[in-house]
Amino acid sequence: MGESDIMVSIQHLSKSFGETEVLRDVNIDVKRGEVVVVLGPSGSGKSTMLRCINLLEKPTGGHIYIEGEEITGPNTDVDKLREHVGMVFQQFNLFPHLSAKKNVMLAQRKVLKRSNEEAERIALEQLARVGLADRADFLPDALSGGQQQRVAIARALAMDPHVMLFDEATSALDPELVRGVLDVMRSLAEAGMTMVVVTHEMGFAREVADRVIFMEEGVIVEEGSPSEVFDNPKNDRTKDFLGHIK
Amino acid sequence: MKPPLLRKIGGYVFAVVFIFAGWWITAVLVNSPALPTPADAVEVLVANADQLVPYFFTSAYRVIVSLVIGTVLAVPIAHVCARSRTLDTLFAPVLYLLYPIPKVVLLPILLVLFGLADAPKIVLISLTVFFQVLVAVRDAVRAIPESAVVAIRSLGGSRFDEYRHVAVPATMPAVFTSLRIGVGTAIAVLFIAEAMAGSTGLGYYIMQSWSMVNYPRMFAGIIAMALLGVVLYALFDIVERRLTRWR
Repeated sequence: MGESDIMVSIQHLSKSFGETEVLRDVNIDVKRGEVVVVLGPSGSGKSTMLRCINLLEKPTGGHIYIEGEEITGPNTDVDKLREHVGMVFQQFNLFPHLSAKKNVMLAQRKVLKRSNEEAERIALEQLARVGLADRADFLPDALSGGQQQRVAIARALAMDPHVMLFDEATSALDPELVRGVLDVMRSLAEAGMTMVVVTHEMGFAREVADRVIFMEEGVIVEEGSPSEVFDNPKNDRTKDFLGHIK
Repeated sequence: MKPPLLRKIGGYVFAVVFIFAGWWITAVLVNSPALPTPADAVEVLVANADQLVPYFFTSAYRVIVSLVIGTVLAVPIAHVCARSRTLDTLFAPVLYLLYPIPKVVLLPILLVLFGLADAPKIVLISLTVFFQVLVAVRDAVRAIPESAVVAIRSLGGSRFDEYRHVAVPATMPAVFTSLRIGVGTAIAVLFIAEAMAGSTGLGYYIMQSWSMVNYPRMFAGIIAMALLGVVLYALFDIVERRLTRWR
């Protein structure tokens, strides 16, 4: 396995908020095209870990490399980094004053400096990809939560990310809307996108993940293929957590 | 589109009829020359229209300029204050103490400093509007969820993009709400300022008519001032709807 096959490399990552240690010596390597699902109780540090990958949180210690380039050094171009790292949040946070299409176009125009025509073409492509071609001119308010989240995914995809981070993308959705979003995520994974997914959707983790990581209290407690972690958890805490979820 | 629009117009027609009916009944009951019936009032308004117009425009000019100055100063300061913890801890108490003070008590000072013409009125109303807009917008900026800002940052947006595409749209409704509320206060302050000093504007016109015991003329002035308020309120309503179409 060559260096270039590692998309994201997290080494000895630690993060504290004041006195509170949220992450301790976290090590994860994500290969190109790999789907890593991170599980764990709330407060386990999984969201913070995810946010460190695009420097929405500044690590207190350790190193993170994306495509071999260190992003935790002093001279990181944060904007450049974020262009390649797409992120989808629990709250969809579309621009409420812009249609679905314009939402997907805005950052392409402002950040990537694409022409209006190009941005529009790509926006429509990405909206079609998430199954919302017919909703392009709708305002966010006229869309369901699930549809809004799919627009948010299209918005991130339009930036041609090399890796996508999902931070509990379905946690704010009504149960019947979760599926559409998971389907989009699944098709992304099938298309070879590198993904780090923080979720509570065990079915999704089992089916789609190449690797499952279980975190608790800021450390990785267990790690392995879905069948290893789900069917044969070695750690008591993992067993406990999975028992509670089922 | 049609049924709601018709219903809306119907609502306004009903409101006008309701207000005029109440006014007419009150006028008949009170039976005082100070309160003419609507029919008499319309008559004096038409009769005095010629001389009222310049007073009306003087007052309109003062209110509009003040609303613009107050808002233009308040909005950026509100954004900066809400975003900077240091500035906010510094200025929040100042704001807290100054906001509830009725600015109109400063009128005598302003009259001494700025004379009797437009300047003291504009300064006074601008101050009133400034604080109302400042407080409303500052609170609106603070109500923006952190997640909205984080989302635009994750797309590579700059600080400016955060303002332009998140903070400004999110606070636009607060600006207009405070302006619509502010119109009422602004005109009240204008009336007092014009009534107390100078010889221009509707406030002066009304109080001059009052002292001359010319009640119909006084009433024409009152209606003109009311109209000024209604027109400005409606104007802000329309502009707000245009600018915040997504709501």
